Amino acid sequence: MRLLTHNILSSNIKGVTNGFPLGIEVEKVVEKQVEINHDFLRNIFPKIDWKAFSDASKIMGYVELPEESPEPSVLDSDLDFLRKFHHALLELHLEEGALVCPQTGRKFPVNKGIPNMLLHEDEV
Amino acid sequence: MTSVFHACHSPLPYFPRKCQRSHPPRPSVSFPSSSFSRRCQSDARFMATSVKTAAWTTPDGSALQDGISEYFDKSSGFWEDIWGDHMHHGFYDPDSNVSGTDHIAAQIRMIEESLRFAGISEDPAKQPKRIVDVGCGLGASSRYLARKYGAECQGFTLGAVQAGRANVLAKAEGLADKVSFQVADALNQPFPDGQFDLVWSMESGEHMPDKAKFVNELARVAAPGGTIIIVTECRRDLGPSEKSLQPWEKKLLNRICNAFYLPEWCSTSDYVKLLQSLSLQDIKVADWSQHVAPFWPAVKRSILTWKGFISLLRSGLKTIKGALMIPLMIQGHQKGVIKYAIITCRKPE
Repeated sequence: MRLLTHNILSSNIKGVTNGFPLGIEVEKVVEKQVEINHDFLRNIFPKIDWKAFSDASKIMGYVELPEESPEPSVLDSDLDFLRKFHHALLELHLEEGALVCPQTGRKFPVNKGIPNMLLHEDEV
Repeated sequence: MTSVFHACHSPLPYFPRKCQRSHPPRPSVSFPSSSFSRRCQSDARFMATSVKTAAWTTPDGSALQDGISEYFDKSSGFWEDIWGDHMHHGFYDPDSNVSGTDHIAAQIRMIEESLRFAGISEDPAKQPKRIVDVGCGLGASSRYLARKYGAECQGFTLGAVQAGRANVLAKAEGLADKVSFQVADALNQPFPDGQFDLVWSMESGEHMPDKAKFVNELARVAAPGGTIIIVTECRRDLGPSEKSLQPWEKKLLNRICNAFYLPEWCSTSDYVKLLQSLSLQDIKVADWSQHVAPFWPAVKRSILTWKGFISLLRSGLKTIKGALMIPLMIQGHQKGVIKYAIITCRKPE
């Protein structure tokens, strides 16, 4: 599971009003190289919740991202930033671990890189 | 057109398949008699149990969910062997001669016609950037849409094996950055409100036991101004004086439900009412039954090849049980009980 996915997943358990962002428990992180696509990064940037993203990347062991969301103009010119953004968003994979509901603490397992977001009957 | 044949292929005429890209092979399941007979035994026990169980026509949520995930995890391999990764009908011109048709191209045409019907703009600035594929199967739609629009696509399915295979295929196609797949439930989508410019449900609606909840979730995760596309098989609408389908029609649909892990069928007008109740706009509907008529007969022909037959046997009894329903699907379509519909709408800004 990449951080691009983490940035959009939330806990939909019944009664949970604050299900985003999910906490991350790391058991295994894998880096998988992906070719950088600047246009894609520019398109996706406005949709990213930056705080959730930069916090998550730290948990995954990558500390190079700025805490504060940068100005969008940075995407046009700062190749170094684009590279770091690309790396954290798309190349870090949580292979094994769990995502944690911020309100209930319930864990959604991540196995072989696939999060299982199915709810139990009493959570629906 | 080039045809791709695996090791055991039929010398009989086989519908040509245009192979534009080669896929990584599925993990091969060897065919030693001991493991096959073990699978058959466990499937046979399952079937014996299921015959005794009363609840098949109205299964409770989790039994249906488990049934769906297990059925599709087991049968996707067979489908992918024969037809490839698009797990939906092709779109054909009515009354066209399909004997020489490239069915994969027809499946891709189904996607394109659906996008066009929904009015997705050709203007790159207005095209979807973030897409959700609800009930994604092996992820073929997600990968196609991601490639077409350069968009990010999240797909989900109940089946872990399907999700895994979908991710493998995404990587093989160089789309691992844009698409990813998880295990999730369409009745409780794991996303905050208003995330997706395009909400895509290609032949997954049939499996939803609670259509109101399903449609509600589609609307919830759609972004303001976003488009929802539902393509689905459904039962015919009732006539003005009808209170329900005829008994023979109900019987036909029930038999299909049991084999394909479908809850009760609904009609196009049921969907429209649900969308209207959520104040969605620009609701458009079309009956595409005539455009998919060649599909099930083509599926039947593909199984009646040596390759199809062997692959079916390898997939176990549940898949075989599904395959035996194909004549009923053909009958249902011919008699107008089963319809194929597209329903699209837009979430208000």
